Amino acid sequence: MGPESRLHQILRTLGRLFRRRPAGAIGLCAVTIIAIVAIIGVWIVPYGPTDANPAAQLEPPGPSHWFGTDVSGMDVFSRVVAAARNDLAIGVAATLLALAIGTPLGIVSGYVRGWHSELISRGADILQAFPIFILAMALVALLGQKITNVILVIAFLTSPIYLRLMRGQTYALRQTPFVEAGIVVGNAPRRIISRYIFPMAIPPALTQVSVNVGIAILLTAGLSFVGAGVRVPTPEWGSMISIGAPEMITGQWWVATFPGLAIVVTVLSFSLLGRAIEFLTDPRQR
Amino acid sequence: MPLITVEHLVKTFPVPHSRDTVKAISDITFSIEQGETLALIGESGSGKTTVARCLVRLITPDSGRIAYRGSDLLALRGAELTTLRRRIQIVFQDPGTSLHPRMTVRATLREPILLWGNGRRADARVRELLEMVHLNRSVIDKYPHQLSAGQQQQVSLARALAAEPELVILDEPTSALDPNSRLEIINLLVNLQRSLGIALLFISHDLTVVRSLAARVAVMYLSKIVETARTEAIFERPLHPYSRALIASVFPPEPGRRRDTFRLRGEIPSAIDLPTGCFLYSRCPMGVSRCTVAHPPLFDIGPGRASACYRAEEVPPPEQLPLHV
Amino acid sequence: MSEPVLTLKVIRTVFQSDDGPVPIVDNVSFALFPGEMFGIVGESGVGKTTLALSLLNLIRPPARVTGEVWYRGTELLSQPDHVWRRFLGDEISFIPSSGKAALNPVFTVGQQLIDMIRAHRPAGDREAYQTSVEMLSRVGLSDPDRRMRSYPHELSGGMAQRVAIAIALVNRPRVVIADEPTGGLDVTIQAQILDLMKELNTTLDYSTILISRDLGIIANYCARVGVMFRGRVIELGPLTQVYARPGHPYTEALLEAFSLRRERVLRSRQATSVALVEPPPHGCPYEPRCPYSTSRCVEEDPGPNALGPDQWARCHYAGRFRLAPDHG
Repeated sequence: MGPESRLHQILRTLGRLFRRRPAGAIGLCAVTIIAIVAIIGVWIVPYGPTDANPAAQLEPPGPSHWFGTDVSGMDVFSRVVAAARNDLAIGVAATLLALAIGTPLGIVSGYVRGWHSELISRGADILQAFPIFILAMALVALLGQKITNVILVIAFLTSPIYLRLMRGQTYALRQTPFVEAGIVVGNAPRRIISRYIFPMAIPPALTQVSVNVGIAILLTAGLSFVGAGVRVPTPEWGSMISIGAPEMITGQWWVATFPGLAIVVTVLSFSLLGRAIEFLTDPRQR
Repeated sequence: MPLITVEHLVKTFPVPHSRDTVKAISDITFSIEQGETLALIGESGSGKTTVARCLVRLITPDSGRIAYRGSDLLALRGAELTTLRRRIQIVFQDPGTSLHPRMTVRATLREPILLWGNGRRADARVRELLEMVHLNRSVIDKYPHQLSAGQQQQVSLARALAAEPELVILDEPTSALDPNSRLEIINLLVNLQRSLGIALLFISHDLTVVRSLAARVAVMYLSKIVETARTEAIFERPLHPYSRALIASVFPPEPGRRRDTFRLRGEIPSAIDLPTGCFLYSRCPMGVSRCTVAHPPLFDIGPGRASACYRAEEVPPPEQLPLHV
Repeated sequence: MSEPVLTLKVIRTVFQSDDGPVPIVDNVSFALFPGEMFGIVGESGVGKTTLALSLLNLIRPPARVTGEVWYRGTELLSQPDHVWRRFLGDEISFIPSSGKAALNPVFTVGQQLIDMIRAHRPAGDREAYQTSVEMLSRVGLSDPDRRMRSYPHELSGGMAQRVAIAIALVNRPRVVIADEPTGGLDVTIQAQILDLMKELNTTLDYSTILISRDLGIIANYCARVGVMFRGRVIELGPLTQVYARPGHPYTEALLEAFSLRRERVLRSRQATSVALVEPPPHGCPYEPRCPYSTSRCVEEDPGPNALGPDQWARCHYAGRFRLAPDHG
């Protein structure tokens, strides 16, 4: 019997995931579906997401408009699907960027003790002490309401999470016997960090990434809801809720509810995905 | 010239969340000759692990000197330090956490070979090392969690040997092992001593193990060395009450042996607040008023023997105790 | 020989695992006599602690204990929990491996001692306090009044263990089960604590089951010993005899490995990385590792074979295995 093929290994791992962490498995499936929708969605929706049709305004959900239409007559379903791309892109990009900023700073400040590392750490603490939403609004207003700026601002404001995490992990790992053994054997600090510390410290960060995508999406939606984020008519769930909110009172619930549900489902899915990542990166599960 | 000379080493640590400090080691002086095995014996708080960590430069002592073949080890930095690193290697106590969990045995052993040896011969050298530590080649692609504790220690030892050191420090290498694995490691070390001629600094609290392995012994208590002697000499006639008590608390599995009742009293005092006189005084069955004045220095009391006790000669030898039922 | 104070008959403790039921303690029987210190020795994972827990009604479903435990005319395993509670802490008590871990961190030493007293009989404040202080003094703690007010985290390992001993003995039990009572303590403290346990065993006149991995400790303090392997007692007898002339090959191997005698060290190349080879289904569980095994050992599980009036070993060639013809 020869060694297992890669595919076989992957399938076996997924099987274990489904058995032992069903919630995580659900998250993985859900995120995969949402990702597919985000990527190819715009090409298969029945209407253009910004096609306004005043004659069909505020139609309830029905066979021609599954989620109904909004006040400008745009098809809510098409917009919700199209917004997936934007929201997901912002959420994922911002989170990955936060990881990229926070991780090296965290590792360096955890590895090298001294006043520099203290300074970095305190800086992160101060940043985290500000109410993130207010600061986000201010920074986006300052830089201009473009998608790239929203991404940068959210990345900047959420990077302390990773900095702290990696700093703590690095500090703890630095004192474990196998890292000390690696040092005594003669490895240079650069190799200790890249080969010993980084691979061992990153798994909790990856779990965090998943949850943070959800948080980033919520932040984006929130910013757009108050008009400080993505501008209308770019489809984005938060701004869609904002447009649809007044209609709730007059009984046209569908304009705001469907984007709201989309946010709930997406954020929850990423949260559950976090459990799957936690399981998959745990060496004890092998 | 001795391989390693340690002179008046001192290291103090801060106590977390307070202004106190703990003197982990004070005024430690000893030397190790090339190819010699020295055992450092002591219980928790003695400072023996701190000495080891200073020797491999994982920590820096507050004062004192460590010389390697005469040159000052503590003054070295950067590239010079790195070059010397290979000569002094260490095996840690806990086999489970001493190996990189994501590196196979092969990868772990290749590292020092690539750093210090001939990269092209790396795989052959890995096989040689495994054989040297009596490990079967089948472990070569295994991860640490797939190995037993004894095997993990064997790999740690192979890693230490891969750098071709002149001194290997073993910090309680067998305390986490079952009797069979312990036997295997000790056997291994005895053979390696002979075939490679490397010096060993064997740190332990387990006197039985020390007896099989070490030529000389230094006993530590609460940051100080209290006795040094050749191994057999210290077992036959310890000349410090602490050494004496240690020997009395080792029970060989021999039936019908007279029970040795030399015991210390009370608890180990806090290392933060050490008394002025001899540190053992509060627990010592032989303490007199002279002992409270100042901590006795390590006096020479015979060829190759030194003791930090004013009443060294009066320590009752192990045999002369009455039979205790 | 006087009447035993505790008798175990065919104790079997079965745990549920992914691969089905596994007997962690498998057919253990022995008797404990008044005033003695009886040692149970074995390597880690052999089932010693599970055996202790089985005798203390601490094994919970789905794991099950079967067999009989006779204490002074009462069979305990068939009793409901409330009957056990009368015995435990009063007539049968337990000294755990780590005093520090076993003591309740949010109560003082005094409160825990007094609780132990009051769990079994009514006692006024003064009386309970006095009894407690005396017990603390008995176990060698200086300044017992102060100790009464201490919290476990303020105590060193050795002191916490003394407190655990005090709690176990305060109601003057007749049987004490001590599970590796000095593990993790420094050797000089360990010797002090063991001396204390031996002395109290004599002055307070009770019986101790001393469980340990350390053959030397057992040799120094116990008069009789039972050797455990894979959940069973494979040899039992007076300590001097078992150690001087082991009746079972495993006992012999254990003694040699433990003593690190130089000759043994030099000639040993025993395969130590023995993967857990499954023993033959109907044969002797030690057979795969036994240098003296024969075909009979593969086919037939040995019962206890007598080696003397109070000594036996579970080996077909008990006491004479060195002479057994080698059939492979």
